[in-house]
Amino acid sequence: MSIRKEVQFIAHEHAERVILTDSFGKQHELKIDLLTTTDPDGVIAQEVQRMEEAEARISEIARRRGHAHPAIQENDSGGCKDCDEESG
Amino acid sequence: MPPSIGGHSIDAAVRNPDDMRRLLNGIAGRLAIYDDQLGLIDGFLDDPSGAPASKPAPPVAGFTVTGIDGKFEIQITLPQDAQPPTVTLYRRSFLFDRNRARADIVHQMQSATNMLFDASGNVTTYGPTPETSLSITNPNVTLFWRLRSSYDQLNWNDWQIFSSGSACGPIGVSSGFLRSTSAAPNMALNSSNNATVDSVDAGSSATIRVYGPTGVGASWIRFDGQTGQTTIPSGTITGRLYATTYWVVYAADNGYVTYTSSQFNGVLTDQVLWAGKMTTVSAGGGGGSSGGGRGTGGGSNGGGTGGLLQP
Repeated sequence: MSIRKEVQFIAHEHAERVILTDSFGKQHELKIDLLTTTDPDGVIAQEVQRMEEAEARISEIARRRGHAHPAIQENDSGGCKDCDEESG
Repeated sequence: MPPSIGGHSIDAAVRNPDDMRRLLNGIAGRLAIYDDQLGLIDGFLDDPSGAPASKPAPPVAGFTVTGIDGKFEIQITLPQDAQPPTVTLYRRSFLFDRNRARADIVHQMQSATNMLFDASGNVTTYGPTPETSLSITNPNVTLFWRLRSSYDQLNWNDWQIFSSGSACGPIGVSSGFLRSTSAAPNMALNSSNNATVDSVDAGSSATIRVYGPTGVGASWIRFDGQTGQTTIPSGTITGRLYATTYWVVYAADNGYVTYTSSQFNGVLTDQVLWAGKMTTVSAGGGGGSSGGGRGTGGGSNGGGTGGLLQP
């Protein structure tokens, strides 16, 4: 699981638009004023950390409750017998 | 030079049946051209003594349907005005009825949401009308169209469904949206959202947060006046001034943008979605007010949970 980051430079606003998407598809958008924000990377890192924590929490709950989603099952073999034997 | 008609030698025709056939075809073609120029098909079409009891169905008319600015623009081309796409088709057309006498033709059009034009297709009929140019306002729909024509409104030719050369067959036409410039300025527009727009102190500036009912990081929903719902991702906007009132909007191509009261001139395009009006916190985190549909600013800030938003 990881947070996907897409960055756009919005020149006329002197800003950076950062779109963060977690493995469930949930998005959070940052508009970072590059002129007045002292630590743009820190702001992004802080949001990424918050989203990772939320994602981990949701994954754990979803797994416990038996929900199916590619973000939860990406490491599963999908019930393939050959794969299970290979890994096992 | 030996005499010939249309490049076919008379001498050769006398000797060879195939040449004779080509010669006679050439003569028939020439006669068809003269008939076409004179309006003759076995006599004059407008001869009053030879008026038929009922008129047969006219030849098919061409038509195009174009969707633009919430309207369907329909252009009908009468048979006598149609331009055959090739010389061969042009010559062949002499042998068929093309309404050379320019008799009045009326047209009937139908639109439907499906190609079958059946009961489930919400069929709407327009005409009969002699008009060849129609403009039908019906915004934001995709419809199939068909046309038939008649001299006497009794005998109609077959329906022909509007087809596109690019699609190589029948195609639905989208009328598109009405332009906002077609609407009166300051029209009533109901919209609300369940966003909270607030701010926190980031040390040297304020950071604005936009989020849904379940807390920071939650997406929010914009409700329009036609029961539509648009889900917008939560957002963070850094580097804002302390204790300043901002109008916060969202656009799919540009993300979140904030405006102060002096920045509104010509910046709000149609795609901008309103989030909320709020006032950032002062240095240290005190003061300020939240906006959006769930904001607590009251009044023009949103009017509390689920309130209508007024910019």
